[in-house]
Amino acid sequence: MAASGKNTPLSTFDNVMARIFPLPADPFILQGFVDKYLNDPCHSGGNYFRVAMPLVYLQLLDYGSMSGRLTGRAHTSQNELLFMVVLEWFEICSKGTFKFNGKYYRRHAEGHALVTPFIFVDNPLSVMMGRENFGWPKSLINVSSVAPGWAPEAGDSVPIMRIGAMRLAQFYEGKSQRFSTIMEIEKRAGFSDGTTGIPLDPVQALTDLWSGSKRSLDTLMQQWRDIFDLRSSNIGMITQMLERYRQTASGNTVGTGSLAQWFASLGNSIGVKHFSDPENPNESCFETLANMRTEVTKMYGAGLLGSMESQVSSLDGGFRIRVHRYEAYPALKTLGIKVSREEAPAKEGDPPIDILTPLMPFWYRMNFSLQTSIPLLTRVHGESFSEALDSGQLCDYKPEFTPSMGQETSGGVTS
Amino acid sequence: MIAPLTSAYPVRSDIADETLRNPYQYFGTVRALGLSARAGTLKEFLDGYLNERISGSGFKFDLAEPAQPTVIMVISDFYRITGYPDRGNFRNRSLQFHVPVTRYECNSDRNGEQGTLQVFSYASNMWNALTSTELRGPLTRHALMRFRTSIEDLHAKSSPSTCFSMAPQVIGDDGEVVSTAIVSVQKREVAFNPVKAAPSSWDLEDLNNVFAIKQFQHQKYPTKVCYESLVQIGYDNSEMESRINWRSDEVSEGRLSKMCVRIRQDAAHPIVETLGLKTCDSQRYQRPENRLRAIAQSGNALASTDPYEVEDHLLAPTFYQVMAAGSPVKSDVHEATQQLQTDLSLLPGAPEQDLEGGSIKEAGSRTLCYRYRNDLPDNGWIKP
Repeated sequence: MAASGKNTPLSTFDNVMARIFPLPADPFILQGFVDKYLNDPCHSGGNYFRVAMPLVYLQLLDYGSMSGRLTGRAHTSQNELLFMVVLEWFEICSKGTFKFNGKYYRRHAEGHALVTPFIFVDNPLSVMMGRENFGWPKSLINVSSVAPGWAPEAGDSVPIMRIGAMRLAQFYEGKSQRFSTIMEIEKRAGFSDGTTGIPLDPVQALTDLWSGSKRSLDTLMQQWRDIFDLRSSNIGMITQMLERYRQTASGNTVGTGSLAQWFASLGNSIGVKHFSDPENPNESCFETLANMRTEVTKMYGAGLLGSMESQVSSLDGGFRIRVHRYEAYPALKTLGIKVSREEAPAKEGDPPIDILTPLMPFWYRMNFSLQTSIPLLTRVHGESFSEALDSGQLCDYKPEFTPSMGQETSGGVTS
Repeated sequence: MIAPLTSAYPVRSDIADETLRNPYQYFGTVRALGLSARAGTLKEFLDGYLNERISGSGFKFDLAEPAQPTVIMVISDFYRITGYPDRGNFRNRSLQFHVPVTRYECNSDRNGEQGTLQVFSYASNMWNALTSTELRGPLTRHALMRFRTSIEDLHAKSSPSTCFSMAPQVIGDDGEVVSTAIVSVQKREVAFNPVKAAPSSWDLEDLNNVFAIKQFQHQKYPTKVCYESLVQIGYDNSEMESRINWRSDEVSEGRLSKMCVRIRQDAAHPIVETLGLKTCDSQRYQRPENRLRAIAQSGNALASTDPYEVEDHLLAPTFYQVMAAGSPVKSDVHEATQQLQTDLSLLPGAPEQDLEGGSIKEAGSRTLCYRYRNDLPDNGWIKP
């Protein structure tokens, strides 16, 4: 899809490799979070958001380069991990088709939106700029890839990616904070790792292959049942998702019905830019519900993730995600993400580990840009206003006196 | 010390907020270096950055010491900062520049109140940077900070050393964002010719009333502000204990004049230029990364066309003061310091529990005035 070319984008992101792990979630918990986070009457501004599908997309993105509109030649890159929820977008009206909390709504012209309430990046600059400018709730992490040992035992899950973050409540006298692992992505070893798992005894091999296939079929069926057993309020979206999988698998990245078009239709990101009052830190001094518009400018390719043998035998692509249950990172609990299994802590004092099973993980590589960010409703020290202030009504910004990385004398920052 | 079991993360709507709720308590060491400034430039900065901005709010600020204008460089090394009860604690190192100011307010009995305006600020801990910027107010950038050894611990005859360095993210020569040391404190082999300026009477105990502009960029119009406020942050420093107070070379046994603050000239961090700091000398050199690139490409470091791409300002502090709160931590002392067996130790003996040594306490933060648009009466300024 070509860029519109009407406006200079706020930020551009090139050569972004995204690895997506869809995770089943409880739709009621998910909607409960959306109600609290976005549908709060104090800042929803006549908008209502409904969870479109009972899935949370765990995305791991590797940015080739990213730069801001006014930073000119400055560029940087980062790894990013985020949890994304797809929403249906409604707006209030006097007499509409939908009724939420006793008020009438109709579908917003944009149709759908995304919300990313948990974002982790490994670039400090991105953390600060993203939070201050756009309200993206970014946290600092460390991402390291892990090379699995040669020829691991077939069927074993070996870590391929480790995500660390500042460990909490572990700051002792004279010692610095340190990163601890909060998440690991594991891949099941198989043919591609040099081991087949087929024993030498050919008879035993055939028997195992049959029983293995049966087990795989059971696993496959159970995972499909998981999808449809989530009491989705919108089967249409499930159908769309399956269609998207079909497109992903077929590699269709251009034209009508393409993956690029799907991204374009979901190019609305909704966020809450929130800053606390220094006198009453539990209250906000500034809060705005904002709509960020992104545009996919180029798709390089897309496809399913995982080894062939894993895709044949299950829907998880051979991946599983281990999440260390730190209180500071309540993503699973907040979003109602289904946990397949729980592991006891490795040693005393460590948190338990939740094992997640993704549903048909996939990847794509693309260029995209952040076109604009529009406040929908703003609240300042408790006073709400929805009128769109133009640039002439706003106060001047003088970045030359604020030591903000990326700000040149003409102003502007990276996102 | 027992680490709290609960998260240090405040939670807003069940998402990670990343800011630590006040009130805070600080345990550790604070170092202050007085830097002479040109009165005209500093006043111009104060007017342009603060007074013109808050015009209509009823507040006005002036330099506290117009006769001997001084900017205070504050380096803190807190081994423990606690936030709201049960919210945990964390460690942080920070570098801040403060301009001593006098506050005036229309129809107020607080005219003449002394304080400092906090401007260029950096923190080693991302939580601290976010908490300061998003909650307390002073814009604070994340930076790498390194303490090699305390300058006051070094013997007068010990070799020159970089004792402290602060490296934020900057735009590199090829446009890539990199971390580079911008500010450092060094010990020189040869003393500077001191800057001719009247000594400042400012004392670290005066760092108890801080003013700052809290502002956020508008997301749709990046050259505009969506919200800004004038905030006031109070500190109770009464439990700080004095460790060092060098106001002259006689007291410091010649060490004060051998101290050097090195600040790199950088477009994104124009500290010296903006605050009008007086420099003793400067040093120009080729950007190290370019030298390495030239060597890799041609085997010759001189291949670069411009051998003087970077300029560092060298400044001599007019005073150096160290105060501490809480129990000093033995492990904070560099091994070399212990081996040197210096005669000026920061550690008279650590009490068993850090709380016995007292702490710096936040004594209330508040928003003095705020605005989100400037087309209303009083330029949009509102007093809460």
